[in-house]
Amino acid sequence: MKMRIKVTLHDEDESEVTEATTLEVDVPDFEAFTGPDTFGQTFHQYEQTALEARNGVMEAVTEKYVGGLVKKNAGRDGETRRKKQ
Amino acid sequence: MEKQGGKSSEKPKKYGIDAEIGRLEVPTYEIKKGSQKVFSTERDVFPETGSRERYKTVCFRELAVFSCCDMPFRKSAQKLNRTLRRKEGQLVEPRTMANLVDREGEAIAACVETKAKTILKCYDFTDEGVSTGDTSRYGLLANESVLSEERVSQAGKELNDSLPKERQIDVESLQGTCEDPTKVKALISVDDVLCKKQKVSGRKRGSSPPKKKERVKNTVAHLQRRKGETYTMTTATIAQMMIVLLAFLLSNGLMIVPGQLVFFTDGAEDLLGAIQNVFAFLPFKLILDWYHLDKKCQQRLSMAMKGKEKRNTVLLELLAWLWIGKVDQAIAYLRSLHPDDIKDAEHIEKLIGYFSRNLSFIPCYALRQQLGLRVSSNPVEKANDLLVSNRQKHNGMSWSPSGSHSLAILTSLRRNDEHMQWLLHHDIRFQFDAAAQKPAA
Repeated sequence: MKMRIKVTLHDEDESEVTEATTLEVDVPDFEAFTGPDTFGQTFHQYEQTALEARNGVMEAVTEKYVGGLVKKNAGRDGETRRKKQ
Repeated sequence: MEKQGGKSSEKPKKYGIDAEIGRLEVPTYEIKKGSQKVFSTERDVFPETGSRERYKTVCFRELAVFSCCDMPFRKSAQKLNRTLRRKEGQLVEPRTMANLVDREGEAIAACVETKAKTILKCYDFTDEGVSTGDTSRYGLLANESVLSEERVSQAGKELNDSLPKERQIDVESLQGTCEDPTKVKALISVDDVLCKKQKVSGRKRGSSPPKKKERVKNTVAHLQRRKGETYTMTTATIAQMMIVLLAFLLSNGLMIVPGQLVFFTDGAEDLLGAIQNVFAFLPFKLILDWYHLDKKCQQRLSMAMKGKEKRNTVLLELLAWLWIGKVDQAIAYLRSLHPDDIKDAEHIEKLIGYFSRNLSFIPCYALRQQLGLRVSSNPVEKANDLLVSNRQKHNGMSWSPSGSHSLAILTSLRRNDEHMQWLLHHDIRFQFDAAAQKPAA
């Protein structure tokens, strides 16, 4: 089974600020949960993958978010400087 | 669920899961055929938990249980709640952490005990470590696995060159007493470590205070195979330790390796007795740790001699004899002390008694050091610090026996790099290999 995590950053008017970040990982099938004895190990596979995916996606999105912020500020500062001159 | 062919219904109670990913509340279902319950998620999908208990995932247990090995329960709980961003109402309480540690520790101890008993049975030993089969193969080449005469003679000669004439050692008499470090079954250091015991309940009014401070005892062993791989283990009693130790040696094939078993101890009588009880069926060497011998002499002489100067003079002379393994001369020297210099002769007699009892365990430390052989049980002293003292011996701390043992056993599990095996499979490998990548101490 695949788990796809898609994260978007958008303005209040729903326009996308950055392109969407998507990550797809394999997680155990429901059939892998064969009973209480194997629940722990199988869920561990899921949890580990999910945590790593969550961290990976959030890292990528945050990089884009901070990148966008830097770009925007750099543009604004340039305009401010030009106005002062 | 439809396959079961019964009537499915959602149960009012949800199944709680404490995971690193969050605190989950999962709906549960059951299927009934008439009045008979044919399926229940709580029984057939999830592991069984107590009525108000949440199932704890491997990731959660790894974080919660092992963080308690490094810091107090309160701090571990705070750190865990912060790391997992737990909100009010979802916070993990310090008491929960302590209970979790207790439960895991007890389960590991039970697993080790069962494993040890199974191994002993496989190798024809009783649960108490008494052999019921042929043990001759375990003592194979025990006496031949000593250092060559040339090497010992050479080291003895170099040592004698540095010693005054009256202190020179008789190298010939020491031939065959130094084990070849490449031909030993294992080097084993065993020691006890004590920490303050928690009061069971308040003292009754008018009752006298307890005469002796009560302590919780943990027995720690450090094993080293000749390749340099190490393994640490801890049990609640010395007797248990000997059983576990024997099982570990058997299961790792060390008992059939030609050579000697070499034990390093502090000379505690109960420890020596336990080793001799369990390992009597094979030749083994027992060496009294130099540091403890030195300390024992210092303590006894401080109480026996008049004044610091006299004590230090006697101590220096005494240790010089003991360092070269001449216990008879050390005893003779103590007997020759002038009565005017002695404050309490009883302590001198006690020290002589200690030397006499441990006579066969006091080697020529100087020669051993010259040959690069171990003279002390310092690996287990370090293991004591790592497994117990660093966490449990601080101001204001007191421990219940189960709390102390549980923490010690969990710490040893992590140091042996067996913790993931335990968390995932509720089993331990009980092998050197697991620790090979990360030496235990």
